[in-house]
Amino acid sequence: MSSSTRNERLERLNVKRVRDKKNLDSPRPIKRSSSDTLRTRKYDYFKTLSPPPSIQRKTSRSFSNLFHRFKNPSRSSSCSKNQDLRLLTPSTVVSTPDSLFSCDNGDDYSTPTSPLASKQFTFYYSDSASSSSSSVNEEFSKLTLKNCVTTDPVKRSLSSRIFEIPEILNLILSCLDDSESRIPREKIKNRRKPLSLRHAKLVHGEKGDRIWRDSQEMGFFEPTVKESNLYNCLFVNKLWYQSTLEILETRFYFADERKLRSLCERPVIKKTNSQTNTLVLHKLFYTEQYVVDHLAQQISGCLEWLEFYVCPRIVPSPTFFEGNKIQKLCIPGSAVVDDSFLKSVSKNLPNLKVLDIRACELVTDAGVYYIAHSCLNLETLNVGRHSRGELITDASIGPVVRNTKITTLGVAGCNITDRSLWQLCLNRGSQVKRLSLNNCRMLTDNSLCKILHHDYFPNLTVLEIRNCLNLSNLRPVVLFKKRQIKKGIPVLVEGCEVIDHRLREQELQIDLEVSRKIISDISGWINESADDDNDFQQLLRSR
Amino acid sequence: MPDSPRRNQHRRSHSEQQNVPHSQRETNSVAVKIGLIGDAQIGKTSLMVKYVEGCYDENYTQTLGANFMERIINIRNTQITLSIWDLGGEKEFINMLPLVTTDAVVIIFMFDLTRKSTLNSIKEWYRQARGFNKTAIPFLVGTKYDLFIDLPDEDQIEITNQAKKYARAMSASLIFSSTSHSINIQKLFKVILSKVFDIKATIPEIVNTGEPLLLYQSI
Repeated sequence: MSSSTRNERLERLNVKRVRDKKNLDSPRPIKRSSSDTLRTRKYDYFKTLSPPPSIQRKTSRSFSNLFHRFKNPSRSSSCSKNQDLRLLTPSTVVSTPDSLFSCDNGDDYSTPTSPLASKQFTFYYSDSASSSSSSVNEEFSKLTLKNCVTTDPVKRSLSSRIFEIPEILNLILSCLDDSESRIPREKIKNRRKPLSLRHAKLVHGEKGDRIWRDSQEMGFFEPTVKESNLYNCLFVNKLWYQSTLEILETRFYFADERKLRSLCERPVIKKTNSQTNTLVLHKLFYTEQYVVDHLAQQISGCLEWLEFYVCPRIVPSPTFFEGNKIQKLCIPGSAVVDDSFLKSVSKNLPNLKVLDIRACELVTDAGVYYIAHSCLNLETLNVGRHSRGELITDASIGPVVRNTKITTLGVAGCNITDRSLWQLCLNRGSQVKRLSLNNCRMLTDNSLCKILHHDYFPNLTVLEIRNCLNLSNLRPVVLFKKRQIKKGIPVLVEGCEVIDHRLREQELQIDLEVSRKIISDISGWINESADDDNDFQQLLRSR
Repeated sequence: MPDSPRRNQHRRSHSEQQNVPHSQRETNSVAVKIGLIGDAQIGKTSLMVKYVEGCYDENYTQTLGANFMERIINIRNTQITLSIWDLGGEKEFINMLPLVTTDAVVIIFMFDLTRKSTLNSIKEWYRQARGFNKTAIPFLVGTKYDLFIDLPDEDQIEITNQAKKYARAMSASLIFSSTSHSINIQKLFKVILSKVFDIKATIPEIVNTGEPLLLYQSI
């Protein structure tokens, strides 16, 4: 492409962007002048002008749609404030290329202030000749992005061509993508909260007081979805926009009901090939089913991770499961997920590895049974619950441990018996890593303690046995813990006050026995009459 | 290794216990840190090498800084690791004293039985070491007993009495040893273990002046 035609194209693009912005923001028309002065004017204009709140409702195809789909929900609510608006509405559009890269009027910013620009990139091409790699690195280190939309051919040529190659641009942008860290989730805790002050003191010793106080003070934690660091990239040019959008569309996170609803008020853009692989809805207590169904029309086919974390009123639409690619399905705390749901989706989950249906109290043995027979790659299953524990028994856990590749099993509060544990031990013994048996009151000394005594769970690292009060002989548990620690495998055993007390007692007793054994061994050795010393009498006689 | 017959016993006891679950057959291990301090050219390093490796070298090698050696003793189901730290006697290494004394369970204060001045310096060594470690069990050990017996009787008596006085003041056990002639070397460490674990030892004491003293029951 000759440079002049490209410039024309870019100019058109520039004009189009201006029109779009005009549509979106300006209550009065902008006078067009030569493109050199236009930029400064635009900038000043948007900086000083406070746009009317009505922008939000404008639905021009390209920009506003984009905004409503991606901007931070908390921002959209405070949109009337000039300060906030400047950060996300097109004033940023104008200022971004200026501050980020380099600007039209020839100023070269050697020290960019944006986090995006200050990030260093290193490029490795595995198949490029190794001899030329140093020169390639050197070349890449000199890369600068001059404003692509400039019309001045001389300035334009200063910008590296690399930012015009879609494949490379896509790579760069996906390296920048921080969406992994933006997933809304509960704070990860190292240990469960202590159950009482006495319990805290028992577990943590002197620090117990403080830990108990902290655990009481810890308030309700409300996660929000942070704004992606890629938003600014949407506004560089058309190519960047497409590339960035592609990356942003792979993951959807929502922790705000208003935002999700406002998305659903927009007309559906039916995509033939949705790229979305992650959908996380976090604590949307009041969101209704129609919203999810609406969402499902746009996102389906490629989902690998589907999470409805404590969204009691909604159940994933069947279309989410169409691609048969889902590996992680987390719907804890749902009041509507039931056996028929599990039955209907189980045939679409051949690749499922993680299933979290904690506190889904409508789910019974029947539902879990379907999962056990369809999801043969299942590695993690959590059916823990506080009430209706009688609905999950050996009848479903048995098939799960026989058929699947389970390594982490959470059956807190379920009515499983020793039978399930022995089946787990016989079928999955050496693979079992984490086991949550809190409130499994039907377990007795005949399973867990014997299994641990014979070391049939050699890779177990987390064992939760809160309120399993029928476990009276905890000696094997303590010995198991000591053994694992000796092997270099850290073990966490979580108990309640009673269990921890029993554990502590056993530990003391074992320590005492060990000490006694050591003392008796040493004392036998010390008092053996023979040693390698010479008799001093001999030395005295030789003199 | 001197304790090889005992090791065989150890192995035999293992095979007898095949039916006992894995966990109860495991050996228990204990580690004891011992610090050796005293003036230069007393024989601290020699004593350590003799005890750990069972050999003695006539030639003198100055210790630069600190030495460290480990002896592992296997007794039935118990493994004792004695880690012995030895500090160079020259004044310039005094700043490494904390390395040797920190966390030590036993500190052995050593002097040369043929040089009275080394006994006199014990006072200063004791003061310094106690500054870093107030709980370690002290031992007072005189070295080169084989040369000591060639001294005139009155010198022997004077040094012996002086050493007893020091030991009483430090409430330390007092032991005379000879590294080159293997006298009271193994006994020294057995007594140390008996003190560390508060085990009653039946090793006979040696109390007569002129003989290699082994006083640990009542100082």
